[in-house]
Amino acid sequence: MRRWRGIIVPLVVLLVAEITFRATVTMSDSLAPPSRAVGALLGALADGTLLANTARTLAGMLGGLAIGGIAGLAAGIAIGFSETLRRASFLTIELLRPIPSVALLPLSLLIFGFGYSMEIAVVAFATFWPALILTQNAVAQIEPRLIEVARLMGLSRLETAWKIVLPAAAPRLMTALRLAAGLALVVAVTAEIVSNPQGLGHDLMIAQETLRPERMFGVLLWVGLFGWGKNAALLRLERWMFSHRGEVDTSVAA
Amino acid sequence: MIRRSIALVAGLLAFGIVGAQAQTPKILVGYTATADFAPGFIAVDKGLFKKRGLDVEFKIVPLNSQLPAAVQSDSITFGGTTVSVLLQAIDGGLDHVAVAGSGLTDKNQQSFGAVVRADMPWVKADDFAGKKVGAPGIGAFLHVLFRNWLIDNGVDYKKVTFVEVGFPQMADVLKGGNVDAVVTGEPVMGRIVQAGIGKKVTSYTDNLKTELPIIVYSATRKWVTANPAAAKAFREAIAEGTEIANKDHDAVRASVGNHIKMPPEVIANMKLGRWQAEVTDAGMGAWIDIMKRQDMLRAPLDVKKVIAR
Repeated sequence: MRRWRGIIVPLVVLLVAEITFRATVTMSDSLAPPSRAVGALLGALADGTLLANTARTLAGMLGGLAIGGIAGLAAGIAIGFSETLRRASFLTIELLRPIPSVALLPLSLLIFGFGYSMEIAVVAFATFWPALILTQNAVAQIEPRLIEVARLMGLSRLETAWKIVLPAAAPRLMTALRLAAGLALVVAVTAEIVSNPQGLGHDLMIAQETLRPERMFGVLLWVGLFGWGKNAALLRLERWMFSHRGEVDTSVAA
Repeated sequence: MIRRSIALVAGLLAFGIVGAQAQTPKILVGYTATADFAPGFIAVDKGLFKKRGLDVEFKIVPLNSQLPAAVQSDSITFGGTTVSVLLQAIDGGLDHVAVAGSGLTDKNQQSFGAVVRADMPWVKADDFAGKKVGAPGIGAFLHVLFRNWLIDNGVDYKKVTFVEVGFPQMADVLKGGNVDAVVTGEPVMGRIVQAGIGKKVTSYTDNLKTELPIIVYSATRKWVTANPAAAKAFREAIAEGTEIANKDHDAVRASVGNHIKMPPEVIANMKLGRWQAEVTDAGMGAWIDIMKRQDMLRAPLDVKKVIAR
């Protein structure tokens, strides 16, 4: 019973929305009651269009996350290791990091055009920075004695990174991945709403433009469920990988 | 063995390239959710492109203002741009040209207009001064033409506050009192009036001296120069689609339904406009003048260079 308690609040919110809509709205091209949104969601799931669009958003999100995440991880380890590199890159990072990735959408559209490339580029830019900063911090928090041991054993920098740094920082890196994945979904859907005509964001936008608010809210609900499912899966993966070490940080929700 | 594999791959690649060249290149057309594209939709549905050897696909995009960038990056061959969007892109430095026309407007049109809140007393153009008016895009077709009408009626358009409101939200913001009026088009305009939320006070085209193109199919000059036969065939297919659209409104509603997934009752009730495949010097010239008097163009534009013949 306790497990299901969390569902009460969203159900009450949906019920209130349904009653309010039926009582007050006579004609609207931009609003729809939850019952019609759920109906539209089920219809979109049944005809396969929503799943196809989900696959496209997932591809854009994962492509960007892979590029941004791996690049951020590599740069974070390198900078975490080297004080010289940290000093040299500090200003550049602090100047580039605050740029909102979605501000790059017009530029990205002009360079890459419609399709996966533009979305992946923007998602990669967005996820690179948290991956870099969190990796850098994770490396900095590694027990100095471990690095000392690596040095005594005569390990090269690459070997130290692979054999000592990555395993020691892994739980924190997993949390970084979860955060970056949350950001990747937000940026991918935003890119699709604003300029890339594919995926869930585009579906949502076109539903709105073609006066089908029930589909728009249905897709919105689906994006929420999708994000929740993605986070739950990553959390489960994290628990499975690190539970024996007791180092899972479940307080950080992506 | 390795050498043989390389030779095989090279052979396949060469065959692929030759094969690709022999085929007609696919033509992608970006469009927005409006019935102004009806002749193009009809041309797709009735195989008018195919019978001219063209492989054409229409792709819906949310915002018209994105089309020039998509054309420039080769994502799409043609953008179904509103003329104001195209001229601003050209003025901004993009070498694009209008290849064929689509939706057309004149002083008798009924497919767009200004709608004021039902409870707002309205008598003359001057009543818009000091009011807040919602427009679907600032600097876009409906906004620019409305400002032109205000100027012609002796109203300083700077005294009117314009805010951007998407078509689907117009009924709600008008009803909620967030704006006093909206400049809007079918099918949203008809729905607002029908629901008693607002009343249409002007089509704001009675001042026009010439017919104006609303939407044109634009491409890069580079593409048009490199593919003159395809550009000509495209224009001819649109012309044939236009002929059907102007005669057969049932065909228009059927094709609009195929390409814009609006609720069927909305499509059945929307008022339809007119279409013209040819982009005339007079129409394009009138747009240049309209935009110039609103300080929207930096450099003088030559009509002849903007239209591909």
